[in-house]
Amino acid sequence: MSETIVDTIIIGIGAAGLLSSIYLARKGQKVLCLFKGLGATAMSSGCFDILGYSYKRSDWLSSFTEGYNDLPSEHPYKILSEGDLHQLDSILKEATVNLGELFDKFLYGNYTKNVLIPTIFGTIKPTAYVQVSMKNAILREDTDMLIIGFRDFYEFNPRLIAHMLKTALKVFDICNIRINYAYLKTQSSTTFPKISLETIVSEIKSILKHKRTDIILFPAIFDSIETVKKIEKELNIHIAELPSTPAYRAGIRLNSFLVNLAEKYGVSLIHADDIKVDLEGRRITRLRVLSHNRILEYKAHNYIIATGDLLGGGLELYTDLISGVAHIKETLLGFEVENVSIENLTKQDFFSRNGHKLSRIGVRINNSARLVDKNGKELVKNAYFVGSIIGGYDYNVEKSGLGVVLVSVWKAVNEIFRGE
Amino acid sequence: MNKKKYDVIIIGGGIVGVGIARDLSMRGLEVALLERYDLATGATGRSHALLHSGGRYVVKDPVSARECAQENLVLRKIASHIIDNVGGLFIGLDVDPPDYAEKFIKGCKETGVKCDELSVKEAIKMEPNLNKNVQRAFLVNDAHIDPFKLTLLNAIDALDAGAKIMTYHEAIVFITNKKDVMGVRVKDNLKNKLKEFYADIIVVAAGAWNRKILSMVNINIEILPNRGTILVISGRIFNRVINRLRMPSDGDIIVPSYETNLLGTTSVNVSDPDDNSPSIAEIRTLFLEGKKLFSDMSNLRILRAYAGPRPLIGRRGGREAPRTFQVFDHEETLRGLISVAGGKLTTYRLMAEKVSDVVSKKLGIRAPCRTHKEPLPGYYDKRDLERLIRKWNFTKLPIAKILMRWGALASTFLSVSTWKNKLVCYCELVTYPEIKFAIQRTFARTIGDIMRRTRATMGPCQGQNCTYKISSTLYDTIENYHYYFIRDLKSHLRRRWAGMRYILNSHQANQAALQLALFNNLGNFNKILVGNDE
Repeated sequence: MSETIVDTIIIGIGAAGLLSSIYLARKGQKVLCLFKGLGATAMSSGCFDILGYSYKRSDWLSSFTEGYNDLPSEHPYKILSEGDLHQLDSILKEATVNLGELFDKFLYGNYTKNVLIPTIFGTIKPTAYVQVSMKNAILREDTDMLIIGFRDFYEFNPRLIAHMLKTALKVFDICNIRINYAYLKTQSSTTFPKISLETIVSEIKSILKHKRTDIILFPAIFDSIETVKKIEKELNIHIAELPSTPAYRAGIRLNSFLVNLAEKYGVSLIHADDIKVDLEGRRITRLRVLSHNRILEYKAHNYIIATGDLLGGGLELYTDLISGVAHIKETLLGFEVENVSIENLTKQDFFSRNGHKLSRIGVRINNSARLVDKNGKELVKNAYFVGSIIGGYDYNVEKSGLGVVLVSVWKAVNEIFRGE
Repeated sequence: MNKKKYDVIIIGGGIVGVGIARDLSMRGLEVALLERYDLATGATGRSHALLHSGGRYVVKDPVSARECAQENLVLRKIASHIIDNVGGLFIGLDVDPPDYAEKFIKGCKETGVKCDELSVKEAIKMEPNLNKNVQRAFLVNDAHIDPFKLTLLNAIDALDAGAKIMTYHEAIVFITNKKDVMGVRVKDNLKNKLKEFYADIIVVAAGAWNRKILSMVNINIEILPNRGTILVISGRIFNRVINRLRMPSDGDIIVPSYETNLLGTTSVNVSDPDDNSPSIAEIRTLFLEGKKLFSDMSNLRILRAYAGPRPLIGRRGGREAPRTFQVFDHEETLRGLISVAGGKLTTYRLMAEKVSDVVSKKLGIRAPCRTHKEPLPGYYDKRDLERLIRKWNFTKLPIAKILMRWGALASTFLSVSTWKNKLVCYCELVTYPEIKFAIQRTFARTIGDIMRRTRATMGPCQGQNCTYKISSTLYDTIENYHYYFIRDLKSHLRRRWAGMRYILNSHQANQAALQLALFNNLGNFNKILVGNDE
């Protein structure tokens, strides 16, 4: 049986796992990333949220700094920054400055300032960074927007999106954006996935003859941002994709960008069907990994657990319908996170403004991203828990998903460097 | 104001109301049916979807057993295309009263319910997932029948015979003249408009809601709404209807329905028939009873729980109340007013016939009932299946599903549509032309209407992927949809959530987390209340 020893092993291939591996590998660490599935980032909208809403105000925040004080004390932002807004600011600053490839080139935005962007549903959400291909969709006063789709591609219905967007603009109190829509004649079903760019370009050209616009909003169906840029160049007009649901490209693209970046810095990605963790005292000593029908052994000085929440598979929920109690388990180490009545867990309305307990479940950490018990006692010394596996916050309400990922990753990575 | 006068107005778009509309219009009467929401949104659509052999009632309620046995045969003749003829087993476990079997055999004989005893070995060979503590087993003529489709096909037939079916039309006041009923004032629930309709006779066939409706004219009728809860289990653990060999009780029937098993029911008397939320206690009961038939219940993926009110006659309610039906003539209070309640999904046609006989007599109509002779729309001989599939030149997997949903009616949309290979709902394999057909020809007005007609949003993802696509199609097809589009989208997702939340377990919990993230995180729906909402 072979045994591999590296500096840090990361479990999980969502944004949390990949960002950790990138930061570590760039500083020369030997890093291994174990993964089972695709990771929940591939299912995301492709935007990078920091904090869009707090709990005391109903309107959106123009910066995370406005909502920080309203966050509950068990919020990972509060814990990781020790209740100090300046500390959170400097974590975010260092983390973004240190990864310009992502934050300056692939994404567009600023961690201190939220923008509003229309979504595939025709709603509007605040976010901090969008992909470059979405940049022109950011709502700015006094613009003309033209939504273009295919007639038979009814998942993306320009007329419906325009209708929704007009109403949403009123909610956000933006009045001088004009929304228009148009359809391409080409049938998407016959041309997918090989849409001829020439056809699209020429059809858009003929639409633009009667419809003046500053920006064209288009479904995120292209596999690369280069394609979007190419069409933009030919038409000489700004095109923007909308943040969208899975099966559209935006989330997948963010995920593959991070995978490529990690591989560029020498991170090895290894598929794991199953992982057994050996714990001695309060240290992880070894991982036994079932990969492609072989059992591999891995050892590292540090471990980063970035397995995600219910969505990613880092947490599991089992409800005993006889007692009505939901048991929430962490899947890698197998410890119980919480036992709570299912009634209590899901009692809120689906669209509750204050969110769901179901979304807030997760592990408890301290300010160095280490796992702790109820009394704050550290449970594992050489493992760090990053990303959505951390409990105490609801990204569906706060629009804070990747922000919490970034902050926890940065803290964990720096703890590892400090210990070297 | 609409001054047209109908022969009969029927209030209630459940299977009984629609059945009456079909019967009367086939007898040549001018009929209007009013339903406050969509067809089959009350007890019909929330039923167990079981075509009873009668076996369940042979000991306790022989009259109902006999009615079920007769109607079972009639429906097999007129609606075979929407019946999944799975057959049923009555299973006696070691915990069940051993003397019940003899009573059961005797009851079957007396009521004309066909049953054959099987050896335990045969029964377990038929249904290998049964627990091994089976003591006795009987084979009966139970089957699955789609209650939504049964109601819809009755409605389409009534439409073809000239009836007017008005969904989202809620009766709010009776128009009377001294002791005569003249008509009803109605609220259009989608357009928020008031209308009036006139008729010689009004039939109230609103099941558990009869009491509320009749109280508008101070008629007090003893109907006790009795809530029955059902769990939807993903995948089929059993391929036949499984009944327990004991007096009818909680959690003792499992019905295979499309890709699921329906485990029910409970029996809770409620004061308000709209009280349709299953309680945790009911879910526990069902789970415990289900475990007696299938021990590995904990590892099943339960998709949702739903409940509907039985319209039981009398004061006692619950399991004690008879499952027979009764036609009430309210002539003494208000001439021309008739109501009907009680009964089973299986006996709806008989109920409709009896009501129609009373109505015909009052109006002096001699035409006989034909509903037991003429097949429902979409009927086809199952031997023609291969020929139909070849004719439509369609991918094989969805076609089997389409046939189960529409029967031969499918030819009307499959032969003309251009986007026939487009799937809208990936869980239930619902195609785009079906959605279009449901809107254009079967008056679907909301996402829920589409769901009841096609099963879209009923699968494991509970509408996560197709809800928005369906609303997009509704938006393009229905002129006024934009008025209630956001209300519709939100209320549909809310109802899906309400059915899921108490049974969230394992994969279904992950599914719920994804659904919340898509609509609330990406869509920001929890922060944006747009349109005429809330």
